[in-house]
Amino acid sequence: MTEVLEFKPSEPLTLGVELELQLVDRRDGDLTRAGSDLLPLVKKRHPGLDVKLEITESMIEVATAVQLTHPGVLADLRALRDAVCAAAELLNVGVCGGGAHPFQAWTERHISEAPRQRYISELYGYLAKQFTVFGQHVHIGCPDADAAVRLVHGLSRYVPHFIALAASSPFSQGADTAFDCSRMNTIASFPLSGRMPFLRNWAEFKDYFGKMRSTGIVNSMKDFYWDIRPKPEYGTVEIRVFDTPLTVERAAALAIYTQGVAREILARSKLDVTEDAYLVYGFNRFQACRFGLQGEIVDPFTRERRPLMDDISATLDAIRAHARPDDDEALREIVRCLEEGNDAAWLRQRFAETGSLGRVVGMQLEHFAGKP
Amino acid sequence: MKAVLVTPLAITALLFFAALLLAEAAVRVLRVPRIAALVVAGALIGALRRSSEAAALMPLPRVLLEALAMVLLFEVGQRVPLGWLRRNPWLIAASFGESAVTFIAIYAVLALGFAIPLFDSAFVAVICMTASPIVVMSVSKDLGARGQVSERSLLYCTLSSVYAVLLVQFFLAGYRAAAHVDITSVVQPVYLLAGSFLLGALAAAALRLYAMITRARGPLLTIGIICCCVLLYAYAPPLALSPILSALFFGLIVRGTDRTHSVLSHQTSEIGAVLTFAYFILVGASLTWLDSWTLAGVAVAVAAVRLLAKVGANAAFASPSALSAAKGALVGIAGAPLSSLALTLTASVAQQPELKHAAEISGAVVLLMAILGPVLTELALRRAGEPTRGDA
Repeated sequence: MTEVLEFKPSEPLTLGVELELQLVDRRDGDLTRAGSDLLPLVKKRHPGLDVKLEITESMIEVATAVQLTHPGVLADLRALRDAVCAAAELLNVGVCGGGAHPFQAWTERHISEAPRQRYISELYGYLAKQFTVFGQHVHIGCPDADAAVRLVHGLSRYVPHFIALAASSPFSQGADTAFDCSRMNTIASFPLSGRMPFLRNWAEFKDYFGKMRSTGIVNSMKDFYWDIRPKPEYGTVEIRVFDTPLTVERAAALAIYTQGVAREILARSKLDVTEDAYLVYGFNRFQACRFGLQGEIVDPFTRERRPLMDDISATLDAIRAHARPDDDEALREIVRCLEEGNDAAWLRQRFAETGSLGRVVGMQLEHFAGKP
Repeated sequence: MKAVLVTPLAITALLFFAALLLAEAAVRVLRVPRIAALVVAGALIGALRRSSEAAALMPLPRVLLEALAMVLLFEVGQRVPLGWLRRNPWLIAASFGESAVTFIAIYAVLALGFAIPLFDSAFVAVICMTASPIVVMSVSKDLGARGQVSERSLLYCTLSSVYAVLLVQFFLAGYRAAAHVDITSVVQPVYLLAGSFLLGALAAAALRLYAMITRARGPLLTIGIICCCVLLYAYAPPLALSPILSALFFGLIVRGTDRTHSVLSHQTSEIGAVLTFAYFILVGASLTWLDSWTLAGVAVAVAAVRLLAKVGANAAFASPSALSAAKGALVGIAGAPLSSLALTLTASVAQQPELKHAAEISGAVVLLMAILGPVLTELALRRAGEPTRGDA
């Protein structure tokens, strides 16, 4: 099925947050097959909530309604978390955040029955099962299609920020990967991953999409696994580089941080980024994945190298100047992340204390549920 | 020379070897479930043992079987999530409902359909009301199954086993007291339950102490667990307690108190696999072959009614306990197997000469469901899409 690329404008800077969540066996902390049992329960008790099955039976995705403020996003995420956790308790299943399960064996995953997931499984083979990684997607509302293209390019400079602040996938297949965010390496295996090509406006984008569709490689925007992509049917730009954080509070704070950056970009009237901005894109992205907040980034124009942490702190100061009063709590959460370390550091600390990845998952469950 | 070569030990080893070969050949060629193949192979060597002069030298496997069952029941106890019952109390209602419906259905078909005396019918119904958590756990592990059908069938099988052990004691005490209920018949099950719990708790404390002192992991921890189980097996009967319940409680208490997950994260791995293989061969070898078509007919009828009752009850209780009716029916099918627990209960009933007929019928149903049960469990788990290994 093909789609017509009509961009539906939306209220600027509105937010939508999607979280992919892990479903785990409470006995040993491994991923379990529970999605198709859990979803009907949640929908029966809370018909209005947006909860979907993801590619494998061990993943679900929850999504907020369209929101503009931090209290709105946080309230939605807490309602979703509480609904999903309560239903999961009836099935003796645990729900938690984290960008990757620390010790699941990808060979044991079961692809869910939805036609889209079956298509992905047939096309990508074992990559589909390895795609059992968990991300947070943030949608930012855009007034028009050209603004969306502008926002994609403008946000790309901040991709290392987003990755480092959200990183929560240090362990994979039972081992410490030495990366703070190992999830992005999994996504990199897909042929249409990475960054969007340098297209200056919506007309160029439509032309590119048409060519790609004529090759038969893509059918819809969903076939692009880009870090940031326009989402014309929602009238948004979707940022997809965040690992799912360990708490919904961190997830809401990251959305507000992104909104703050987008506010400044959308205030510009035209595209002021050249293709040179992407010279160091891969290097900076790698630094954030590998070293998290301790990474270094290179400015593509001044060629200067600086600590990522300093760049985030400077951005935070800029955001604060234009922030709404009710953004305070979210920005404090980002400062806490900078001071105490990201979720990857939290996970490594718990593993150092317990020596058991199964026990770490148990602590993730309590952390996600908001238990002290 | 013959006396040197044909010894009980050599015959036992050779028969075990033959059973394993036979079972693995059946798994590979006929693609039958491994647990069912082991039971059938065990049953064949059991028949050989009884009919052959040389094989008759093989020692009776009963003690070994029951000791192995203790270790596996510990593992069952360790897997049963009691916290789940607190979070979803409908599971207890569903479990009671399943056991009650199964009991009533079997009792009705025997008493009304086959005119079996009431006491015999009641004993058969209690024994067949139960199901084998060891089989469900072993098939699930063999397939790497994860999901509601494997979790719930294990939970319900375990709970129905507890109900059955207590009910058999209750009925036997009442039966011995001239078929009327007196204070002994009430106190005996309570003593059995509380005493078995205490014995399990003592074993859990001993294991924790052992694990703390030796910092045991891997095989060292497995040996510790086996020692505790054998001690339970040795001490429970002289104290008039249930070895089955004490092993289950041992596992449950270890799970509930192991805050550091030092024991929970333990996998019995190769040793566990050895025990499981040996256990199912011995279950097969302990089965008594049918020698009467009438008995076979009654056994088939009981087995069919039992399966229908389990499927119906589980489907009916599925929705309130947060599951679809279709998955509920699969839970009922997965909970079909009978194994050593039913054999042990049958043996305790057979000690009453007047209940010989009940023991014969129960033995026949156990024979049927010890072989068909693992097949049904595997079918149900596959239908639910829960295996993560093999053809999943």
